[in-house]
Amino acid sequence: MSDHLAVMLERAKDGVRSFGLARWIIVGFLLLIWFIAGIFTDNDLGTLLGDCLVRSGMNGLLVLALVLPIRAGSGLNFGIPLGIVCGLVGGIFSLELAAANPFGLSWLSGVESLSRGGSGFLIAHAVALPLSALLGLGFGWLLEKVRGQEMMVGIYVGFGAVAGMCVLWLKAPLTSPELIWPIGGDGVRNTIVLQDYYKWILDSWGEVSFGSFAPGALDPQGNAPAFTRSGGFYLPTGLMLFWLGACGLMAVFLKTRLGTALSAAGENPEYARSIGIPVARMRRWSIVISTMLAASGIIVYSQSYGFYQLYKAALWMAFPAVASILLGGASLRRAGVMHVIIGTLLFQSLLTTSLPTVNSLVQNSPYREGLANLPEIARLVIQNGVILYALSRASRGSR
Amino acid sequence: MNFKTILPLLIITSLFLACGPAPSGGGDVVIPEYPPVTAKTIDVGDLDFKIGILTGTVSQGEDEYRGAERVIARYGTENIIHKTYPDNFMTEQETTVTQLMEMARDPEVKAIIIAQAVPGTLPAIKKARRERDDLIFILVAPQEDPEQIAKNADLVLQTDDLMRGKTIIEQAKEMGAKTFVHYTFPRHMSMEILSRRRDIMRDLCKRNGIEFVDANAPDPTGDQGIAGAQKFILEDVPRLITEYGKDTAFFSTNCAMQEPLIRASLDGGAIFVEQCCPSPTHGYPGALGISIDEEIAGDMAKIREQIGKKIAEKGQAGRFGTWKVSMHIVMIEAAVELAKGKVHGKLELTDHAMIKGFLEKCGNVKVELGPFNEHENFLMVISENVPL
Amino acid sequence: MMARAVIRLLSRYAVPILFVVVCTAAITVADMNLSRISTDVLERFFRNLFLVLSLVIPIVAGLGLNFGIVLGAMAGQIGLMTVQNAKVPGLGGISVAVICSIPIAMLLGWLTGLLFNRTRGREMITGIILGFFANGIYQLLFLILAGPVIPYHAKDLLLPQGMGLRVTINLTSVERGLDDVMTIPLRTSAVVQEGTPGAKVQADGSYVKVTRWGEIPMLTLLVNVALCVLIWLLFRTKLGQDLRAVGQDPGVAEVAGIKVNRCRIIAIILSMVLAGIGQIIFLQNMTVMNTFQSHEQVGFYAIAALLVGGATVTRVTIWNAIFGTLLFHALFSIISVAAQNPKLLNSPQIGEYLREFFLYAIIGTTLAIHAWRSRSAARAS
Repeated sequence: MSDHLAVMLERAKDGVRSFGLARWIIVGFLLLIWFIAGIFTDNDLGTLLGDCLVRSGMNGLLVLALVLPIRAGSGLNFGIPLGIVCGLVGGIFSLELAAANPFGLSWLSGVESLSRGGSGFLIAHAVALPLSALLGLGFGWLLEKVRGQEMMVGIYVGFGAVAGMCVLWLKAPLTSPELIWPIGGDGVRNTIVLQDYYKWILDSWGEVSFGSFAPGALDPQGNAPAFTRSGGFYLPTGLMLFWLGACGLMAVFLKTRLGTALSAAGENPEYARSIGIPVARMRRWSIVISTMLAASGIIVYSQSYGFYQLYKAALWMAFPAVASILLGGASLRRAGVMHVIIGTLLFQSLLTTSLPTVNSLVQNSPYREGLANLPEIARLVIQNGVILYALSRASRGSR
Repeated sequence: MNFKTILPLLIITSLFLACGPAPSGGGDVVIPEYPPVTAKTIDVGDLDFKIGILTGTVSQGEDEYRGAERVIARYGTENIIHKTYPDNFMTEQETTVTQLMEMARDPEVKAIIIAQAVPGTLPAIKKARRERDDLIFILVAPQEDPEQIAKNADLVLQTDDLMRGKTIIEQAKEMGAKTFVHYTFPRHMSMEILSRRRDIMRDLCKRNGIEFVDANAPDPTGDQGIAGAQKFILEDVPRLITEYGKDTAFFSTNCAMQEPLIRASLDGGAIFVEQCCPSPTHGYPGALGISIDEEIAGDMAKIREQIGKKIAEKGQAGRFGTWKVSMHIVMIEAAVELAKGKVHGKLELTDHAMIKGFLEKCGNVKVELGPFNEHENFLMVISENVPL
Repeated sequence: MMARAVIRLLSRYAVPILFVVVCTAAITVADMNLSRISTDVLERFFRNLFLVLSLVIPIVAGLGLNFGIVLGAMAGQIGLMTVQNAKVPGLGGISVAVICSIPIAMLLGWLTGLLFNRTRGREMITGIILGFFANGIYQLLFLILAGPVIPYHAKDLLLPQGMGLRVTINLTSVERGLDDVMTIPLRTSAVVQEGTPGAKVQADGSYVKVTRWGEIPMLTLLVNVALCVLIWLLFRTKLGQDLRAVGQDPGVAEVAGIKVNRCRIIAIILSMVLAGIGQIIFLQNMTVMNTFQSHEQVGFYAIAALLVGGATVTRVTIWNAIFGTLLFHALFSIISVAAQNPKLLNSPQIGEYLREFFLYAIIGTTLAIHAWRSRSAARAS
């Protein structure tokens, strides 16, 4: 019995150690912020925690997209904007079906109901996934040709894809009056609202919320207005399940023969080649799956955010994802599903909680007029300082 | 080791929190007034030279780009050169300079209109003036320091952000606001006009018994990007509505935040007086998914009507507002006429009556205007707010 | 035999050839005015070269692309603010700005070096986040502390309420302080027929048209040449050899008795100081400084220029920097103008997006060519 306990204790110790000092520091820091937010500010701690979960779920798939290329030895995939624009194409396609004559084609008319609700979400995926697989294949081929420079090439491929897509957004033959520019009358707007389509289709599936709006915020009938999250803690069940489910599938995949072969190709290509693993093909397929995950990731992101953001919004989206996974303890050669989950939760929580807390502290202080500029500056310094500190400690944590 | 870098900073910051600097603003807030100006216009003749127009792309804001297109529709591409500055103009100032210099080095170009006058404009004007002194620069909505801009440009037109500090608070009170939330970030508060407007708003709120909340949002050009800034607004507005109640008016100094701000205010039942750059087409169509088919595209009255319908559906009529037309489009159109008059020697660019006349004629709306800090060539323009 | 030599030559100079082809095509198709282009390219070249050169040393020392030069640029800007506050004019002002910036850049470089030593292998992303972090401190210093604590007093620097700097600082005292000391204009004149626009009548009755192709700021040129020579000399000293050894294999260098961490810190400090001076040269030419934004544009474009010149994350020469700056800015300038030519496209915004697309595509292609060449070279040896 006591042996058993000792083993358990040893395991727990291992777990704590492998979590890494850097992560513990961030966790400690978050607890401190949450403590301050709960005690010294008017912010509802539950709301803050709920927002952290929503943001993590939103961004989670984009971070997960980075795992396979790292394991296959291609480094950080800065090219995920390529997948993101594919996801956006799928999304816009699904919204256009609501028009009287989608794409000006009369035989497509009357499918408006398809574009709303779950079917719209699925149609967006149905268009986005094959497209991203195709482009991912090309991207993987390109990266194979430029071995050793994958990350820099990836950055420019991502930028190029975003810039090139802008031309398409301006020229797209769309007819839906909710998509086209209000003055020009053609092209797609830069922000498309998903309110009447599939906003929160995942978030609100099995959602759990505690607490409600303060009395002043209710609508005249006494109900919280539709499509407004109630105050208090909010658990976006569907969103979390979707993300964690994807993470689980990835973990299972990594344990399969194909998954281990892929990791072997990344760890030691010479050896992998000698035992018959097609290294180049492994790398290419890792990029294809990464691009597809990014495409799905942006649709999930947008349904939670409530808007599709076109044009330049995707330009820098790879960088927070990269920061998340590195913060989670991954390196250029090593990455696992746990790095994704821990990194996303920590990074997004830091982003979500620090500013409202400082804002509220300053608002309640007697010097608020003189300190008006301080909250955002404090956020920049604290948040990035903590990330830097964690990065500088990462080598001593799990390695 | 990095902790050592943070440590002194934390100490400085906490020192600040402890002793606190003298509150800025407060007593010396000047509420602006306009000198009376009677509008008049004259015939400025034909366009027999070239005018260059530099605007952003539609993804930066549709108004200015379409304004230039309207001018081209009137005068044709032979006499109007239309170019755009990059979307990330903040980091690609060299490109803005290149585009402007390319126009300035064309000897047939006699006037250049820049809307909006993003950073990079001032270096380009100074470089162009080194090579030729006969160019007229008319700037719409400058983002660089107004004092320096006023010294270098021939005419500057801007919506009167100081006077709007007064009108927005008055309008908010009329709409029933008890709290006024002002979203901004430090970089914007280093802009003289925006920070003075914030002080005016704070002062007037105090006098009118409205609680003023000075909230910070992430800088969209900073580490979180536009997406992070917008997501913050979507999260923060419901929080503040919970805290201060439904009769809270929201305002943000940044264009990228308008869409989530309008959406969240409408969903939460709050008040939204007008955008940072008031225009029916700024923020509202994207935020509310306004249906605009090709027939009514560009018709401001019809677009306002559509927006009003969506707001009324939510039972919020009268708690949202904007201006009748897009003032930036009007300014571009008027600037072309003024440039013609100046080149033909028929008017001076400091003639306020004439400028007011052309603005009213091009926009078919009433405007009031006055100089900024006694710079006769830097005019602040205001038009009326209409509730939706 | 002949064919193989031609192919070898083509592959050796594939990147310059690509650039010349693209630029020529753009110039011909868009029917561009050559003299305006050359003026613009020359100006951009002399404005940016120093900043690009400041990236060379850390790459040789194995630190990769130093995104941390943003901090160096901040140091340069602090120097310029100080000079503008005191209104020290001209070349003297530039010198004072440089002298002010050096200790700050050294301090920042030392701290950055310490940080990079703890984040080996992740220097690039650390550099990017360090830039964000430093931006926060920069804003704290110059939005809140400038005025009440930092004794700046000039009216064109401080906001009217006496706290915080203005968003734009017009560098009236040092504008073109380095460039304008001595410039050599490039001009050609041709005898033309009467009635040609811009032609001027001569004493002998013939018409002559003068075309300006830009100007060469001699002192800026001299400073850049001096820097190239200094870098070249550095790598011939003991320190330079050590840096190179550290860059090639830190493990071997350590065994050989070289203090690896110290070398890396020295490389970063040198890079920061040079970036500070580079930013001063850049801004004295732009003549206007965006107080809170000018530094942010530094890292990305300098790095792109260096990559186009054939540098990799691990290998670089001075010539990579020089050719890279020239090619990159020529391409940038030509494509920007060509894409917005109404003869090509009647929509300037589509031109703008195509410009960006081509720019990124060509940088990507260049990287691909370089990677492919270095791989085939490795295979050959």
